[in-house]
Amino acid sequence: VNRIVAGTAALAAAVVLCAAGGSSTAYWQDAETTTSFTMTTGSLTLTPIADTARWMLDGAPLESDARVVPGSSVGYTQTFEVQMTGDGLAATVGIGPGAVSAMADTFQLASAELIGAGIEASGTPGLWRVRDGGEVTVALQYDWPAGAAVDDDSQGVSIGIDASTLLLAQVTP
Amino acid sequence: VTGVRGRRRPGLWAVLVTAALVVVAGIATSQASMAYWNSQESTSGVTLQAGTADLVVTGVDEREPELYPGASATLAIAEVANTGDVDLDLSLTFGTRPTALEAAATISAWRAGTSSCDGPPDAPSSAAAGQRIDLGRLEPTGTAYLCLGVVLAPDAGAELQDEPDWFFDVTVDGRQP
Repeated sequence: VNRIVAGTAALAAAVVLCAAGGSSTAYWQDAETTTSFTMTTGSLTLTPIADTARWMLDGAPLESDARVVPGSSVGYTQTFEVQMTGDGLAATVGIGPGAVSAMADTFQLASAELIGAGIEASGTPGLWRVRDGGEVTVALQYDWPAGAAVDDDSQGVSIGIDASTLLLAQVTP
Repeated sequence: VTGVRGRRRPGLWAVLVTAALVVVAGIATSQASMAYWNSQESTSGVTLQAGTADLVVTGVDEREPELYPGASATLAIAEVANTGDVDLDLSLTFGTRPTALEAAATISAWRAGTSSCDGPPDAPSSAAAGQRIDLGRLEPTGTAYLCLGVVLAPDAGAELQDEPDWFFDVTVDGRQP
């Protein structure tokens, strides 16, 4: 009994001490703030320049009543403005040439080029690397090679060339 | 008492693991917002019309000349017009000529600018049947006359009189260069 009494008394004393000690728990702190900073995002845009689109037939402007024949070469040029604003911004321009709607076997895309300062080949056909903004000109050429075989069925045919697509896309510098 | 002794405060490793998880969670959240910019534009399309190659041959002088030994005749047998959209290289081919005519007559053909048929022969009488004779290039909207000259030999035999079957074809061909 004495042990029980003594133990109980000791436990009570410990609880009292703990309660008293808990009320004095504390910590110190000190807070500072950094300076604030406002950033503005850059831009990456491709914009056609007005009145630069040209269709040509054998080097001369394509007239509305023009007739293409075996041996004809149809060219297209158009200039676009590439705006690149941003530190370390790099991009590529890809050309998706428009398809030929009729006589696709004989009237075909001969070349698709992107011309301009700051343009360099990417190593992938149809894709160019752009490091600086500025004007770029897309040049497409569709040829109808003249051959040795007679193809009178191709006379009087209406041939459509669809619009081509230019995609300016950000890439890793 | 034993139960109280068994509890442990969170150790340093637990704190570090928790902090690492918080960092990983933060990175995972930021990955969802990774992006890049692009801008797309299109050129204009176009519809083209294929041209035609069309040669129109119209008879001009359809006389049947009366020939006799030593006589000659010149006929503008056709007007040839390029009504297509491309240059055409003209050529002429004689069909098979009657044997008697071949033996007794000299036949030549040529291209002329007018129906008066001025100009030297392009196709000499020695041209064999089926042999292509070049008549030069005819541009779109251009016209030319095909002329035929026949000379009956002075020593042509009397058996050739009233010969009704001296008939042969002359074919004109236009081919894109």
